Amino acid sequence: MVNPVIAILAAIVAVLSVCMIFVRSPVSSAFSLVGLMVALGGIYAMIGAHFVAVLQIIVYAGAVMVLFVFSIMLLNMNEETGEIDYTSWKTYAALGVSLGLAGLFAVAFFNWSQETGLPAQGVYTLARIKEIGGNAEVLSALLFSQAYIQFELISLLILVAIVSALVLAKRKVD
Amino acid sequence: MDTGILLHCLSAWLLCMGLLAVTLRRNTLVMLMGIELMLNGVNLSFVTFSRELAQINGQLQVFFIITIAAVESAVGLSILVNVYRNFGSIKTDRTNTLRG
Amino acid sequence: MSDFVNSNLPLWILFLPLFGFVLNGLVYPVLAKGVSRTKNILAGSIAVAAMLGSFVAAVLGFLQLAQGSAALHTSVYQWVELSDFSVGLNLHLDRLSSVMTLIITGIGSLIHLYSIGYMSHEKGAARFFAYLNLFCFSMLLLVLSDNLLFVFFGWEGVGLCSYLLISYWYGESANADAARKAFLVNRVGDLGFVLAMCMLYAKFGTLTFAQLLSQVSPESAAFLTGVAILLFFAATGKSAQFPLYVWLPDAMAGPTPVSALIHAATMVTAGVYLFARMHFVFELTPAVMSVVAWTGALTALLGGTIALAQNDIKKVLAYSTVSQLGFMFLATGLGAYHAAVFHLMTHAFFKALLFLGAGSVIHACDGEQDMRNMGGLRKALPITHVTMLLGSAAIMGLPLFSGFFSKDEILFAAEAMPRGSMGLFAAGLLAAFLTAIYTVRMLQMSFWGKARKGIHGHESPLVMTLPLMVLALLATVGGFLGVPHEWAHRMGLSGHLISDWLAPVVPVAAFDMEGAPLSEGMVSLIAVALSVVGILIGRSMFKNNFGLPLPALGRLLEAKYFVDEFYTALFVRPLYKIGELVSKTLEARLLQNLGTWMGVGSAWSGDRLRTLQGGDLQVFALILLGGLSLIVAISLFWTNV
Repeated sequence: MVNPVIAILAAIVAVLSVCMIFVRSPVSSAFSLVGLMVALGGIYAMIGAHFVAVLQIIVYAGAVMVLFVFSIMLLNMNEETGEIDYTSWKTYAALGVSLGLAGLFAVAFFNWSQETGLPAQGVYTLARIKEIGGNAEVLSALLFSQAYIQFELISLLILVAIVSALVLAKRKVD
Repeated sequence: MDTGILLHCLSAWLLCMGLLAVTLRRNTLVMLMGIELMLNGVNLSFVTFSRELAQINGQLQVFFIITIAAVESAVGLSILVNVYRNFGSIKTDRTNTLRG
Repeated sequence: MSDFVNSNLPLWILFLPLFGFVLNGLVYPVLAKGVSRTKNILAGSIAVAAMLGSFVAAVLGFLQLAQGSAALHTSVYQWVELSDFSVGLNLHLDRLSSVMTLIITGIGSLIHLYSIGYMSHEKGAARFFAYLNLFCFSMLLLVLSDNLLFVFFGWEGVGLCSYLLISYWYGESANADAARKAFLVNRVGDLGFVLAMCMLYAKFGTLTFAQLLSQVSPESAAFLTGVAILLFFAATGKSAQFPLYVWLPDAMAGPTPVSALIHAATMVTAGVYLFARMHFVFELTPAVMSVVAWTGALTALLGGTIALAQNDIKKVLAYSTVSQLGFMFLATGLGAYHAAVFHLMTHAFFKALLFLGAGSVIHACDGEQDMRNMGGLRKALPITHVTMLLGSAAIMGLPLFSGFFSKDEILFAAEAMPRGSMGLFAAGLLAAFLTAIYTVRMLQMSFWGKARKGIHGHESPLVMTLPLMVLALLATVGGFLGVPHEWAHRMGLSGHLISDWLAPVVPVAAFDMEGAPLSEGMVSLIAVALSVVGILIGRSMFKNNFGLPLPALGRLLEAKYFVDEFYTALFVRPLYKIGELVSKTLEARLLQNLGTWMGVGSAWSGDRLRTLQGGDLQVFALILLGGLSLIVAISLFWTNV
């Protein structure tokens, strides 16, 4: 059965995601998103992916969302929000498509869960991870041996992103 | 219902809510937030699978996704600032010059 | 080289006229711009050369057959090759076909030559010569094919060329109407042909004559009756028998060489040829053959009576053709195929001669065709006059002319053959009697007597009179190909050459020499006597006035028994009414508004759909997602995919 903590955290995540969409001011949206990230990090921790949980909180909640709030401040968006237009057909089309897709996924999951045969279990059960010395140990061992090319590429990507952000945001010289 | 199913459904929910944010809101910033939401949904799915299948590749992938999401939001926001400068507003009603 | 030519003679016979058509019809207009008399002569020369080449090939083929070959066969092109059905363009020159090809190419060459003179003043005669060559090609295809399907192609082809040539002067709407009438009436008959082909294929699985011959047997006689009736129906259309003869008089609207070639010598004989080819089917259906014989006799009388009251010289000859074709079908119906073919040949000679002579008259009278405005032309057109006299003697069956032998053979068959009867014989005699009367009437009105309207005519040039002379010669001596055996021995000639020649292909009539009521000599005597009486009556009756003694009868005959009016009321008017109904209500109301509705609908839907391309990125995203959901749904729920 489900751990009640996980259940509560899941509920929080679901509610906050709806919140984010339907709330008026963009600041409120941003904050609900922050809360969502933190709760999600909590879920990761409860599952046993500790490294990812910390990463989520530090990078996602701590850096990306801060960036968003900075942009809101920069663009001076208090009340100008772009409200949802409930008279247009696009609203209902969007709602329909999204909820329909959600339903399809749910059906897929439930069908899948009835079927037998998950793929073969791997090695890294919770006990084994604990044995090795923790999530970070495992991940970093993998990162610097098997996946080191992706690692280097990611750093290159970050470099590119820094440069491009700088170039894009520069004020034009009149 | 066990944890796996719940979390998978949650991940699908997050994905769809992200979709909704992108298609429903007229504010470009909220659209970008919706994209972050979608990425989070995917992350959750990866982590849940890595726990269910006792493999570590899922978490490795999440590592990369989080990094890329950060990078992408940085670049996206700078584009947003540019759009604001050119069009004067970030509402998508104004940015429809790609008309067919 | 000669080997190549000799072994492929059917190819040369068939394709030289086609080559002439291509040159005159397609190449010539591109290369030679402008119209002039010399250009017309050039076009004509091309056409004549093609036909002469074809004639030479036909003669060579005839010689080869005479030396002992059974038939010359050339497979040109295998058109259909399925597992159970194969048909191809295979040319088969056997004895019957060689007779037909000689007639077609020989008389065709003469008429082409004549046309050079006749059409010399036309604006652009290349078209005429192209069509004439195309016609000869189609007719040759008809007689050279070895299967019914390609015969049908030739059949249709001659119908098409007839249409094209009748409406040659298409500026006059009357000509176009006549051409259309000819084509449509022919088409009605062609339905019979197509149905017969389908029936034969369904039953026997083949359309080739040789294979059908081997597969047809008396047990399928009931089935074959249907086929025979349908084929006869088709023949009535093409060969102008009752009830589908109505197009032939109208077809006189075309130039006279056309009337001579198509409507006297060749196309209208296609029906007789078909019967001779498919004799094995008709031999098994005596009921149909009786119908054929009686229809032929009836048509002969019909044509003969109407010809008595016509004032247009070409119309007289047209109805005369109908009447003579009736004779041919009478012979066919009796089973005397060789007599029918023999009469076909002699009729080609003298009827072409008569038509060309009439053309010479018309040419001299500057287009006047009404005989009431002619008269006394014998002084102005001596050569034409003499040749017309010879042709008339032939058609009336005067002794030793060609018509004498062929017509008397048919009359003898009418009373001597098993299917014959005295009724048919009497009908034939009456028709022959009428032939004499209307022919003399025609001569009286146009050549003899005093000149009425003072039309200055001049004799035609040599290019026109030469064919007349050649044809006159043939009409005079051509009959010696078919001298009956008993006389031949007395005269020291070889026997009935025509039937001997055709014997391997067409069954020779079973004349019951002993049991016949009248012997052949008696028949000839009676026929000649009737013709002479007819000449005398015609001469005296029509010396001064040209109407018939009974005015009411005259009006009836002149109006062709009101058959055309009857057909119009029965078939044409209702069709027009239906057409009006469709065009006024159906089309004007429904279909036009349909167009408007479609326009409005499309504008409306375009308006609605425009939002999809409005530049709104979120709508684009929605569309993408909608597609994605569709794919997911399909992969979830439709397990077969």
